[in-house]
Amino acid sequence: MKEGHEIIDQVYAAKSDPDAADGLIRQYMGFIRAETAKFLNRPPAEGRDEEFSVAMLAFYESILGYEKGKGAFLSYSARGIRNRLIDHYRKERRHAHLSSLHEAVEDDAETLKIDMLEDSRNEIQALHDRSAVREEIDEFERKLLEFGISFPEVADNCPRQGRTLAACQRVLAAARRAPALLDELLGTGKLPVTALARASGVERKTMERHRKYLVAVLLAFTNGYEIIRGHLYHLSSSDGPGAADGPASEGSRENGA
Amino acid sequence: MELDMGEKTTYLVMETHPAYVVLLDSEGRFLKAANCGYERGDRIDTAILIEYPQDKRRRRRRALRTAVSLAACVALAVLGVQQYRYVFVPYGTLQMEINPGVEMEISRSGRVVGLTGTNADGEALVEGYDYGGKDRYEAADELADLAVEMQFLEEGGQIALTAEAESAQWVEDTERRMKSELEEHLADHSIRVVISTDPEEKVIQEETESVTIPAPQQTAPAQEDAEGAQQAPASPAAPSAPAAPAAETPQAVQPPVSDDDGDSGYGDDDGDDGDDDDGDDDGDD
Repeated sequence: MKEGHEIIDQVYAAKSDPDAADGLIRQYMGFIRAETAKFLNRPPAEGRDEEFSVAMLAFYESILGYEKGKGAFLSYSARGIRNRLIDHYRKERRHAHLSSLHEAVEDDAETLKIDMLEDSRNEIQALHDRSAVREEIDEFERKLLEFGISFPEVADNCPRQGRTLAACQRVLAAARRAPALLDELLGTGKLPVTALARASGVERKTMERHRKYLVAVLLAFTNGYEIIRGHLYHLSSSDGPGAADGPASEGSRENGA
Repeated sequence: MELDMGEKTTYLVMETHPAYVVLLDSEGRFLKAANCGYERGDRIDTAILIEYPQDKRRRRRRALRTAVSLAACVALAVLGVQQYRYVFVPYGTLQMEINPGVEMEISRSGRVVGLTGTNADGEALVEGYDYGGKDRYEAADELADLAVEMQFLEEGGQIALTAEAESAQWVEDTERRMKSELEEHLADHSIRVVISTDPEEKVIQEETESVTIPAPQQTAPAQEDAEGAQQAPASPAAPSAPAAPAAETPQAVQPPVSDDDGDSGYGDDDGDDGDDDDGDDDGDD
């Protein structure tokens, strides 16, 4: 009975704390593996079986969705894992006619098809690029933490409806047309909601609701984050006059970098 | 650091956790997805995205709302069709023989949905008469008034009513109520007419169900003849029985059974003798 209460407390703590969620997942890794094995009828191979990753995600979803009235947490999460794996299996069945690069070349052979493919990439260049991306992401994360925001919080705060996302993109476009607003964000550490609402025509309430997300996206368009900004080519190409490589953006980039 | 500029969404792995990763997609969304062995800085083309419980609930509510709306639409459509049939589709007919013959088509709700004259005078009577949206009794009253006005119907005249429909109950009710309605209406106008329904058909139908046809006899002894005469005194099989008494007691008429070869022991089955006063009166008119 005491254990039951303990796990419920852990689950409630994990709902809002990513570190607590990671700890709980590590603690119940055996349970997740067992539930996956029940579905696969064999133990899952970590790093090879996508089902195991799906099961872990399902366990995390169970943490987010659990409430005290829904019975014991472990049976609730076992149901969630099973349902998610069934959904995943149904989606994957559509691609059943495709062969996997991770299949063995011949029966009983240890060599995988992917190993036989000729890799035309320049490995050294790829390593250098990845290192540059990581450095930029690290820098971006540090900057976000100055605003008291973490990546998981941004993801949870990101608009999931197309209409709201479009409204947030209008706010971004308005900020890029008026670089003073981006400077104000960097200088005060606060989102200039009133000025942005006036410039973009988006309601204050919408901006307040997605404040963390807006801060992250606006920061990405301030200074130095060329790789991230390059990744957001949809936003860069659809913003019109204040495009990513426009003079205003260039100026602010130089300021902060 | 060039990116593929195609339309397909690509994801940049921003942060990794044991159960999930935080991705930034090329449209500017930050998303959580399953960690299939990714590392920070990886670029991926496909991801197994998280399903937030509140999104699931919202989807479920939306599906429920859609289902309820569809059910309401279906219910409305069914009710609409039923209501249309109730109000606008003919359910039965009522013939009014004043001398001008008129036939009304009546819906289940009692509205007149069609009106035709069954003879030349009838056509003259209904010509120009607007029956649209009127109740059967109202239309019958107005047609009777019109017949009086056009001198088709006078004091002491006669109206014969014959209703037809699949439901015997509806036929009976319509004839009975129409008769009393017309009697009341015309009495208000100080005109006395004889209004009759057509009992002949009903009597025949009712008795068809209960009558038992005896098997034909090869030899007819005198005793049986006497019994037969007692059972059916109005039968034309008895040569001595005149036609007049049969007309007075139409219930006694035994109609022919359709399957019978006519040699039923009741003699001819013309039914004329069973004709009550209607037949005679009609002839007079």
